[in-house]
Amino acid sequence: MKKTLIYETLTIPDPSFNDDQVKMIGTWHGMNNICAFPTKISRKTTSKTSVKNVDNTERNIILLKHKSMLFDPKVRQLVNESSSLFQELQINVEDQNKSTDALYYSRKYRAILSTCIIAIERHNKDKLDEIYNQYELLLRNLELIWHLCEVLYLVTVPGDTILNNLLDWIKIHYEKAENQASMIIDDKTAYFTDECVEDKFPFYWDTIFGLVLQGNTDLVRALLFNHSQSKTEPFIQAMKIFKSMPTYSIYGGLPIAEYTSRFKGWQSNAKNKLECGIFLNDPNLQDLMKIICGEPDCTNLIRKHCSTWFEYLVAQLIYTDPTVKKHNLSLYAHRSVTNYYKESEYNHMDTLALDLFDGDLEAFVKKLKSYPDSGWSSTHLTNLLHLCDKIEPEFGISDATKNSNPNEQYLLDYGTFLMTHHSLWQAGITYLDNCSDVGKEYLSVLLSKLGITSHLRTTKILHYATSRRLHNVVSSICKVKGMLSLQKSRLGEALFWAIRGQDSAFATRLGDIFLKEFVSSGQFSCPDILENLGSIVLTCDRFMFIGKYLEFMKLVKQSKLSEASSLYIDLLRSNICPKYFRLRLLLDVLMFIDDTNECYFKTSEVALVTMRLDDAIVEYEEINGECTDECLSDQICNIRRGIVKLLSISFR
Amino acid sequence: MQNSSTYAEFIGRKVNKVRWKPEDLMASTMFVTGSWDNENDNVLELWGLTSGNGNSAIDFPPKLLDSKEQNGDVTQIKFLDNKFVAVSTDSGTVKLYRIIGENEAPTVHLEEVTSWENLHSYGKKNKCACTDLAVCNYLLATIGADHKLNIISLNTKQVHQVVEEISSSLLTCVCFLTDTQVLCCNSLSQMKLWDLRVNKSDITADINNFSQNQMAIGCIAQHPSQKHLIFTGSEEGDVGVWDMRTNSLLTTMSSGDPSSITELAFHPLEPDHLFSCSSGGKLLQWSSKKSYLCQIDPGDLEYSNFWINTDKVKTKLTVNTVMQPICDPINSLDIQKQQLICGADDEAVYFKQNLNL
Repeated sequence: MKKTLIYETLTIPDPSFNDDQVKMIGTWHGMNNICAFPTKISRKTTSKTSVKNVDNTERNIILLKHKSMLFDPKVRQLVNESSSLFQELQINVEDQNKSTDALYYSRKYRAILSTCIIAIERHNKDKLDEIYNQYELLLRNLELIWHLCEVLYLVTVPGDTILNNLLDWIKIHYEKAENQASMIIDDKTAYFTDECVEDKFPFYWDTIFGLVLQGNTDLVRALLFNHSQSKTEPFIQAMKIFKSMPTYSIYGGLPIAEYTSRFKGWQSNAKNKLECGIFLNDPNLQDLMKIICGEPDCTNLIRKHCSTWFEYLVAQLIYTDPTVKKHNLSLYAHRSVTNYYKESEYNHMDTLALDLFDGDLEAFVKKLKSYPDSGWSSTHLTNLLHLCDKIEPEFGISDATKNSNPNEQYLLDYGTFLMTHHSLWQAGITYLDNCSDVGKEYLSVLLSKLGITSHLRTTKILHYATSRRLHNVVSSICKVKGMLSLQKSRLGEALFWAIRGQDSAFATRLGDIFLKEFVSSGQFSCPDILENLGSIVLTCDRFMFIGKYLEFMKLVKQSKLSEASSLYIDLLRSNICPKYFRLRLLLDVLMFIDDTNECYFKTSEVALVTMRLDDAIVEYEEINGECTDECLSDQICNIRRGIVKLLSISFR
Repeated sequence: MQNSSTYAEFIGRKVNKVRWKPEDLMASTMFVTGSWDNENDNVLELWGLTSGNGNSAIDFPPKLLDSKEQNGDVTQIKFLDNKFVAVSTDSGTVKLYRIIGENEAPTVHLEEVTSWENLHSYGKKNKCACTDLAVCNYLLATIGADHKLNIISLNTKQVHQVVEEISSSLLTCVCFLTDTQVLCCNSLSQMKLWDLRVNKSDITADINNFSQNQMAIGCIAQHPSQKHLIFTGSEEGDVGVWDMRTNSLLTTMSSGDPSSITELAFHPLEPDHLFSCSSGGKLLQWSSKKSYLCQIDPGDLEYSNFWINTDKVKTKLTVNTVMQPICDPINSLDIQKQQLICGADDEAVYFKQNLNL
């Protein structure tokens, strides 16, 4: 029993479907579109009576098109660039000499994403195009989640102290505070004119909070130094505290225990100062100190300065548990997400991130599949994680699909999806190439479904099919092209396609046309091809005959009659001559009668000619001259006369 | 420091042809691309590279200067001189464009000068592809899927001569051997030479059996200094060297890749270097120049006969890849001075400076 997988459910808000008797029927239209239309089902018993009641209500046929972000001209570079990187990765994996550094490739994929984002930004500078704004947001979120996955799973951290990596992640994606800070610091006028920086820039304190929550203490100190009150005691003290904050670095040589005690010491020192009331004069400074002391009552304060719970999570960790281990993150993540949202309504991004923090890569990958990027991210990320053995090759996938490998399943889906595009089909081939035998089956079906509109496209498709040994595709395309040429009565081209596809049945048919044309007009068309038939003579008997016959004609023309005669006898003896052409061939015996009275045939050979003539006459009478020319039958007497003459010469 | 890395720019359409705008003295800063297989949205685009800081280094990515819609896949682009460019499409049209306003950078654009519609058609109605065009001294030769050869005079902008039914199978490429001789190749690896002076045009030479397998000749290139040497690229990845004085095949060279060669081009000033690109995504440089690593043969003072001497071709020719192979077909390439540009089916234009000549 096979289960049906439901990928997506759509509702079509068309009034004509709102009828109990109406059923919706859909058919595939092209490779990627579905036509849906309403049909009124009337029961058989009533049908006789209701024939006259013609239903006049207007019904629409609805065309469902798969529209994807990836097909936008600006986003297409994402598809193309990633397909070549994907190919490079697959090749390097097979090569034992090259190490596959998953981190390196993950970063490259992210670089491709950012290039694409930049291209969209450049195109949509004033942010007026709503569609591009949406695309940009989607891609940015994707990069954020990809980066998180990279930080948690691909970067190796000795001792699993993950905070520094998380900080890098946050700093890259939430750069607002840093940009504002550099704006404030770069502004020199305030410095010279005694203007208060905090008054000039209303976001001064917001910036400082933002930076503190990203652990960027150096910039915080620089900003505090620019404050008009920076020479006063509270500011000096605050800067001193920030300066003395111990930072943990994996390669710094400090053991975790040692670092923790130093951090605790620094924090209690700061707490002492806070409790002494040094900062009471300035409420902002007071709040700042509360945050860095890790006071439990300042969570609301932190929450106010964070735009997402990702920031909130990391910000809390800096001052409460700086040496947090990877496996503890799950708890913190769930706690901060519930704290951050008032209601427990998580969006797609939240669940994706939670899966990552929980260490449930399988669930993550499955959810990523429904991200609205037509499977770009799930395909590439799953493939990457699969290749570096982060996910099991077979995790619980439904039995509906033939192959249990999700990596392969995603590749198949994505490849098939790309193949439906009029221009990106070549990129799709790359993905289908990498899914073992099933991919090949898919390819052979999809390649032969591609439209063969232009010659250039046809040659490209043939190139792909030939190099993948999909001979059925090659022959079907050649047959279609050949028939099209034949319909336009372009024999030469049709023959070219028959040769290209090595299609002997089609070639036989063409050969018949050539021969019949010769019978009626005495001339072959397309002499340039017929003189150079090449390998088609080996696959098709008809062309073997045509080739030999042409050779015979050539010899006769050059009056090399003795060679011609032996070829002639060979032709008769082998009996490869088609029936309708036999009399025409026998007529050629007259060419050997000339004034020199030279003997070209042995008696036995003349007997063969006679025998063949008798056969031909019998056959001719059977079909009663339906397909042979009338004048040819008149020639029978001439042939007989010729044979007699030849016989008389041979006896001489 | 010499910068020898390759740059890529994705332009959102598959590139079928790419050509540098010729410049006499300096490295060219403009090129045109023609796209294919993009439903009804195929274009000819003019791109400009901005020279950074007056250095010789040219900045990539290029800037799109102008774009002209075409009514079909662009099949060939040829510059007549440094202003005029001829473009053929697979709907049987050939158009002539002029690049205007080069010195005032923001207004550089393409202007259509002439358009020859329906040069190639089956009967009166059915349009068919113009597969290739060639240019020589104000003569334009076009061939099409209707097995017709048109000779257009660029002085009068009129079709000057029409030769019908020159081949029974599809014509693939065309090339002027001299002012008056046109060489056509077809998809059954046959080459035909036409003399335009003969009143009733007739085949002067019919050259066959390029290979046993009857694979199409995909592209053709003429040696820049020894005009009688013709190089053909086949669909099976072989390059054939022909001597048109004797109409004979001198030798064939294998590119080591069974995919078809899509374009062959000599360096216009350094004829010792031949470049080829293939459907397998490889870009090769075939150098006949004597390498300093090779032992110098005292009797070998002259290279001019390099290609004639088959043994030398077999032993002294060096083949190098110019850039990292890509997985999609490279459709076109062009070289100007020390810079190379090529266009591929992954919708990218690749640019490489400081070629190793």
